[in-house]
Formats: sequence, C-alpha cells, structure tokens
Amino acid sequence: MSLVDMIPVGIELLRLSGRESVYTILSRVFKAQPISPAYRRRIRPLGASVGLSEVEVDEVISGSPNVTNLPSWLKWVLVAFIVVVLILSAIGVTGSYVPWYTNPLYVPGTDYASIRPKDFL
Amino acid sequence: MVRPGPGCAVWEITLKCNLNCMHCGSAAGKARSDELTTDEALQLCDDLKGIGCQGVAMMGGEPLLRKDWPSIAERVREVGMDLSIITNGYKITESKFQRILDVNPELVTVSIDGGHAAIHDKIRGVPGSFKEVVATLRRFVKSGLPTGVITTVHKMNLGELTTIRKLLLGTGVAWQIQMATPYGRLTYDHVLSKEEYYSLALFIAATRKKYSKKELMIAGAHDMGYFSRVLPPLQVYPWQGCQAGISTLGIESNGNILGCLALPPEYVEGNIRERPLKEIWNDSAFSSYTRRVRRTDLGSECASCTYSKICKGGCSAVSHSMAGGLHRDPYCLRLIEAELKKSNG
Repeated sequence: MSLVDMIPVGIELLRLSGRESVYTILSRVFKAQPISPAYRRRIRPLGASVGLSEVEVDEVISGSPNVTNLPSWLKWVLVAFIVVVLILSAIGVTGSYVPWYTNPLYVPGTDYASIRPKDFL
Repeated sequence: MVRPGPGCAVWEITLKCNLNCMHCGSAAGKARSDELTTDEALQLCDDLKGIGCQGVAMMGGEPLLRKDWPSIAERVREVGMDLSIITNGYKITESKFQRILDVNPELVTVSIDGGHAAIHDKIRGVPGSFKEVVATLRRFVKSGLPTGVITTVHKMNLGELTTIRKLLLGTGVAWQIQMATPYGRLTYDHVLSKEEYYSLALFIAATRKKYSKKELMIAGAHDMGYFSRVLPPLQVYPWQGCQAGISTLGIESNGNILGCLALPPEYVEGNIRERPLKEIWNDSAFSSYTRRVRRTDLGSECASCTYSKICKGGCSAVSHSMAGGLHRDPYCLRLIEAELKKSNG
C-alpha cells in the first residue's frame, strides 16, 4: 500500500464520528472487509429488478467505495498531515459534535440543469 | 456583500406545455397569467449577467412554446452566458429546429422516460410523443449539437432503464438520471421506495462500469447519491451539499426567484418585478437554508454521519418532500445500505 493509498484513511479519520471505528475504516481501505455473501444476496435482487445480471451487480459492489471527495492536489497536502490526524483521531479530538457553520461553497457548472457530454471529459 | 454569481440559472421561461407528464413537478400545462413580457425577460438576461451568472438553462413547461424564446436565447448568448435548452422534444418543427441550431446552445436536452412507446406515452400523457422525441433526439445528434437526455424515474419506468440504455448506446449523448419527487402532479404512491432507489443507483453504477464514456455517458443528478459505502460515485461532480442559492438559481416564468426550481412555492424568496435580482441574490437572508447550514439544522442521522459537513443532509427537494424538512434526505445510499445490512441480520 503506497502513501497515496493511505489518504482515504486520513480523509475518513478527519470526519470520524462515533458511528465508525478506526478498525472499520482501516479494514475498508485495506479491502479486508469484503461484502458478505448474505449482503450480496440481499443486493442482487435489487439489481435484477432493473435488469442487471448478478455479475454486473457483483462487479459494481466490489469496487472502490465513494469515499474521495477532495481535489487530487489536496491529497498530497493531506499526506503531510496524516500523522497529525492519526494522533488527533486517536485521542478523540475530531470535534464531531461541536456545532459548526459551513462557508458557502461556490461550485460552477450545470449540475442542476442537466449534464453535458463535455462534463465527462 | 457581493456574492459570486450562480454557475447556472434554471429558468422556466413559460409554464405552457403540450404534454401532460404524470411526474411534472410544476404541473405544467397552461401558461401563467402573469408571465414576464419579452422586455422583462430580456432585461432579466442582462441582470443575470450583472450578478455574474455563467449560464442559463431554459426550460418550462415546454420552453420552445414561448414565441419569443429565440430572442431570449440570443440575448443570453449576446451577454456572454452559456445557454442550454431543455425540451420535451415534441412537435419540434423544421423551422424550430433551425432556430435551435442558429442560437447554437452549449447543450440541448430532451426527456425520455421510457424505452417503449407505451410507457413513455403513458407517462407523458400524449400518444405518439415517444416516436417524436426519439426522432428529435436523432436530429440533434446528427446535427452535431451537444445533446443530453434526462430520464426521471419513478415506479412506472424503473423497469425501462435497460431498454432506454440500448436506445442511447453509441449515440454520444449525456444521460442524466434523476428520481421523481412528489411535487406538482406526481403522487406519493409513484415515488420509488428506498430499495427501488438503491436499484436505480446500482443501475447507474453498473452502467458506468460496463460502458466507456465513448459508448455511453451516464450520471445521476443532484438527487442521486451520495457517499456510498459500497458503490462508486454516481455523479459527474462530487456532491458538496445542496447548491440551491449557491451555484444555482431558480426562476419561475412570472419572475419569482428561488434557490432551486425543484423546491415548492414556499421557497420563493422574491420577485424581480418587486426587487432587483441583484438585491435578492446578494441578500444575506436569501437561501440561508443552504448558505448557512449549522450542524443543529441537520436531522439526527445526518448530523451523526461522517460526511455531514460536506453533504449537509442531501437534496433539499427530496428531503422536504420525503422527510418533511430540510437536511435529512432519507434517500441516502449510505443510510439505505445501513438499513439493508440491518434487515439482513
């Protein structure tokens, strides 16, 4: 596992809440926690209902989960901070329940009308 | 305080429509009695540019039924904003088609809700509409205009996705899939269940995986997602919370302004006939439900989620309609996965 691969761990830890343990996050990143056969059996009929084969469903639920949400350049910044983050997380100083305001985020684009072929490039 | 302008203003230029779609969130049909005049609409184009708006999506109703739509489209282009047109693709005459080519939009989008005429026509309320929209789509594609397709999914057309996919494969269109919400004409009994919603997410994810972008460009809209523990991203751009009043702006055909057109009338926060657009947009109270979100505004499950700060409780329109309040969107992949896991024992 490369240093870059460790980044999702950092991202998760930054947002760590009481609902997820460090163990869960680490095991997900290391893919040591495969989808259980029972869960797979639960999901397959949902895919079948929209015409997906078992193979298609299995393929899509075995990929990387949707945990990345930062621009790629920020990942390198995160590498620098990852050790600090791990320490902070370990002592539970993530401030999960501290009230917060969010600064409005400006996202240009057409995502609220409809997507363009250009958006996929 | 002067804010950056919206990336996209979604503008219902008329409520008039020649179809009668069962899922229409605006219950479009007849034009509003007090729709903006041509002069007012042209002035609004200038005002949008004045607040720094980058693009306008003209929609309706059926926008191409408004007689002066070419003038509005041309003004949008003249002042330097991007233009997209969302049409139902029905009764697009040759002269209308030529006018669309003349204004050269960045994108033209048609709505396809079924892979078979029987389903599409039933949903759209007019026999023959499927045949026409497919023909219109082919004309757009052939003309080289960047083309999109929107499919709004509810119980009646969930089973149509693979057929629509076949229709769109290799055409070079961008396919946007969104969930129908119970506003306007859509009744609650047609809204997808959470499990059906998850099936839809699986379909998008599986299709993205199976086909290259050259074969088919597909993505979920703003109400599809987010932060799955299992599935890869469904959207083109990462979800960063509801963008109503931040990077998007909704305009009704009578000049009413709201953060997002998908929201119901109680979210109207001004009218350009009573107050300049600039003032409405820069008002610190405008769209405060998205511009200033506090953790305490979030529903309990959202507040305790790892992604609360980014997600802010999902799509406002879905949250309001399906949970009775904002920032608690129950159609959340992460939440549904937890429920599925629990129900699985």
